[in-house]
Amino acid sequence: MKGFLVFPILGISVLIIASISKTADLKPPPPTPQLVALGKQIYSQQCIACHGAGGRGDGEAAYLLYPKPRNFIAANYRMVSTWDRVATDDDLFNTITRGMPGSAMPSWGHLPIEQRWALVYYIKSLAEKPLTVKAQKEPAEDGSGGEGLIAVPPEPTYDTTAKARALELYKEACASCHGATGRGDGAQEQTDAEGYPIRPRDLTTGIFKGSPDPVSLYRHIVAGIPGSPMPMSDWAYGQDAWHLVHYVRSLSSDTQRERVEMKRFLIEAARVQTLPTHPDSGVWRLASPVNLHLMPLWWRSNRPEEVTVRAVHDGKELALLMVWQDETNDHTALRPQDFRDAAAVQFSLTANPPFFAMGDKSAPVNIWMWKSERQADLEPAFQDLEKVYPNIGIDSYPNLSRSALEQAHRNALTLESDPTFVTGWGAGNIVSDPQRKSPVEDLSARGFGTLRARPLIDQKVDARGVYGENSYRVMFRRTLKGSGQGSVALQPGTTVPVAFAVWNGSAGDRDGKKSVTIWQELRIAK
Amino acid sequence: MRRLIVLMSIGAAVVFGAYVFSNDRINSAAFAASGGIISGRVVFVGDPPAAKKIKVTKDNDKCGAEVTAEDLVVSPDKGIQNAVVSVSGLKGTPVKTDTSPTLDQKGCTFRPHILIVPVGTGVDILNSDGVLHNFHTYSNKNPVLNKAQPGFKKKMSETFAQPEVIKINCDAHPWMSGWIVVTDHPYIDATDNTGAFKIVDVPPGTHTVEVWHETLGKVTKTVTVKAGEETKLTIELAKK
Repeated sequence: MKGFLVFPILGISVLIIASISKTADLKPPPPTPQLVALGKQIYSQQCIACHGAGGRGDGEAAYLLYPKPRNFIAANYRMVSTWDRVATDDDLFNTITRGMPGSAMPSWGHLPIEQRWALVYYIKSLAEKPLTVKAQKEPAEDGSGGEGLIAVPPEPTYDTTAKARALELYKEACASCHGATGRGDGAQEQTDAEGYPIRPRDLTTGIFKGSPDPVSLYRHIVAGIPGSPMPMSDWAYGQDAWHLVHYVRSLSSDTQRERVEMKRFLIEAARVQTLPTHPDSGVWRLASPVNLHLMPLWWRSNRPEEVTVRAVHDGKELALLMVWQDETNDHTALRPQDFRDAAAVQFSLTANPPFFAMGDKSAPVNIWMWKSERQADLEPAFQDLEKVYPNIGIDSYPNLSRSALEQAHRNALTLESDPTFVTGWGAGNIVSDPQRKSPVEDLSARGFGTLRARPLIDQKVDARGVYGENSYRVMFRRTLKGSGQGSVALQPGTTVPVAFAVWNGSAGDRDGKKSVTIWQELRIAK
Repeated sequence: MRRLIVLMSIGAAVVFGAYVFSNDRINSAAFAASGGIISGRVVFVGDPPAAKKIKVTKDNDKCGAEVTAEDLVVSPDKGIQNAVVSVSGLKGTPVKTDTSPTLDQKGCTFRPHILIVPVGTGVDILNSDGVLHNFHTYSNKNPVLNKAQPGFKKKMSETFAQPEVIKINCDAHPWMSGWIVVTDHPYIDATDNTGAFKIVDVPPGTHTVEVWHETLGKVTKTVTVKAGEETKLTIELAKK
């Protein structure tokens, strides 16, 4: 019995440490009107694009996103830690801090704690029915009748007996949907409360919508996930839920779980003597690689998880290398059903960056976009339409009753056509120029649907991309100074907000359908 | 002798309890002398579509190979089963039964398909299948419930505080669907497999009878009820 007591005590101390390090709810500031006003201000800068001006989850970008952004008016929150399945302030704070892997909600953990609490209080103020958490009441023996915050009992040890029990419970209560091996492959079609199709989570991928830390996971198993098919399991309250927490966590690793959180990292652009001239140059060894986490905006399980970025400069020019996994080399986009692979780097022109997706009206962003088919056009030859559709250019047939001199001309657009009469080409649109010698475009944007090429004379970014070993390695180079208005200035000694995007053509990625990072920091060494 | 007295008093208590319980009924029976009955059938107009069969994709040993959809069940003589007939605008205490209303999950279907439940009464939710079901309600006035009921949890109890027609389903077996009709008055009945219903103890007067069916929608009809008399109704529903 004595030996038995030691374990719960150990468990408690582990819990306390875990909860302190994970949730920053040391002492939330009181919800003053000033703080709500601050929340509104941050909301309009960072949240409005997806969650909408009125908070109904109908922002400009919402159509690009799956799962859909939360509606703060209806306030049916997914991550709850109460018996009544109402989100507590801590639940909202933790979701804002960590984001929601498995959706396009990124982490906002880089915002100061006060600002995150301001957001909690502001979005709470939008709810049509106030979120009230009842006083804590322990449930009955069978788990029914609990109210308020779910109290988490001390963590038991996960020994062989506990594991056997966990396996038995998993088989009885979880395998029906999550599948016998946890791959989310139970046979059923499911929809969420809004009627959108939804799948049980593949528990082996490490994607946890709510925090995978043991205490949070315990509450999410007991409370379930409101609005989704994941039910409350009040019967598991006590030891059984702990056994399931241990088992579910054992199906994925810490590395996997960390990789799905959208976080901000620091990329150091070291100063070197000579810049690399190729993505495979040995000079890249002088730069420290940073693995950035990617999220698809329209969530899918087959996705690029990370992009590895390196940067160096020589005082005059910056060289940036993106490396990511892609099993298919999609380098033509000639047929309507084909989409190309691509990669882009986005720079904020201001130290306090606008919304991470394409900037906004008041703050334009500078984007360098590399396209695989443009690269293929350069080496060895231009990918002409005729290559895919031979003889498509024949658009008139000889009229045999007339003389050869009277025949209509062949007038398909080819490299021999006069650019003056080919609208886009003639107007200097870089996308329409078949003779362009760069696989990269220097662009600028002020929010969704505003992407445009910068002037021809300012197209000074150089890039080179190679594909091999199931991965892309794409190098960008540009002078630190840049060229013309709207190009990012990269001064040695400064830190510039930078974000990345990757498109996988064979997965149907194009335009807004892509995988992105949030704003990262690029420090250019002195 | 003593023992006998004890036994007798227990017996008396039981009898008394039964009396107290049935007191409601006696009162309503007394009331019924001045009340009337609305009965009749709900019938389908036109040719009813063939019942849909749904292929069962999991737990086949408990659920079978296929189930028949219950969104529209019409008898050979066109009686519509599972229509809810109620008298609008009347107040009264819902009829309480001596056992809790029971909703069973059997053969991966809800039994019954429609359960009429008085407000505030505990409903026993059974799992006769012995496989995981989750009891998921889609309600507005009552809190939304979604509770896992693994095979080993044979029974759980839920209470509904507000009158409401609540759709229920099971996400583990998406074809499962049913309804819980929470009522705050006794003037309500669900049609049986011949489409018949019977509402008793209706106060005399002119009332609006409302018929609701999950796929055919709502229809109302005005009836005049006379004390001690049975008013027969045939209510027709058609596909929209």
